[in-house]
Amino acid sequence: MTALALAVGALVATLAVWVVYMAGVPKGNVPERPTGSVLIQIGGLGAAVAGLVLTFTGGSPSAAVIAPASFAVMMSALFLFLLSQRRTPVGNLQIKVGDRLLPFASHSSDGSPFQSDELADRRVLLKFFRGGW
Amino acid sequence: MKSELAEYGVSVIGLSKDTVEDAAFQKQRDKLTMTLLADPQLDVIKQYGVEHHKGIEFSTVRFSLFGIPLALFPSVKTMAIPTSLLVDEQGVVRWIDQADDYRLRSNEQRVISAVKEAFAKQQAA
Repeated sequence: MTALALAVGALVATLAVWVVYMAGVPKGNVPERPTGSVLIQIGGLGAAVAGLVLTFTGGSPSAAVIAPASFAVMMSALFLFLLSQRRTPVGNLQIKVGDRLLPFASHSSDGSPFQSDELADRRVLLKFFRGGW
Repeated sequence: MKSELAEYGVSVIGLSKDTVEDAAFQKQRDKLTMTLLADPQLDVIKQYGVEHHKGIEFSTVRFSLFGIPLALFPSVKTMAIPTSLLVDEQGVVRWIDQADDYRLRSNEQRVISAVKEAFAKQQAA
């Protein structure tokens, strides 16, 4: 019973953190220091592992414990790993303050071609972003 | 931030490796008014030297639950390092901001301060 409670509790906690965190991602509203999320994920990971240990040392391992606990372990470990990879490399920026914008061509989201000379006589904030969401 | 930028006559243009379809989807889903440019071959991203080769991306289906994207399988992809360039009417770069944390976009306060400093003498071009 304790093992089950630990497993299910871990799963609920870890998924709740994922959902709340992902809700902020499309608009970039993620915390700079996600301490709370990290602590809950570590707690969830610990609880899931404890649940697995209990069920395996208890004599008859229960699938009802193993399934949610394993999933919770994967999801919390993944969250923590991704956060650990958040530092971007320095990159090789080809432009500096005082330079002119490098002329470029692209396509706008409505499919029409875009040329950077459309930006002539305009003040622009050009934002390169990850995309993918 | 949008109203402050408008006050100084600054348009915002976003560029990412998204395809035209994905960019259109994001624009509609997030109700964005800014122009979104699609650079799926990373031509512009490479030209500007802002590519991040080991970016971790989830394959998300376009379906999202209550606006929360369903993150599925992670993979390593090349994408842009979040970088902002503030450019004046002569096409000169006045300010550059580059994230050292791929999750974070440019801090709004920093952007507004940079805009005010660059265009202090006249509000709209």
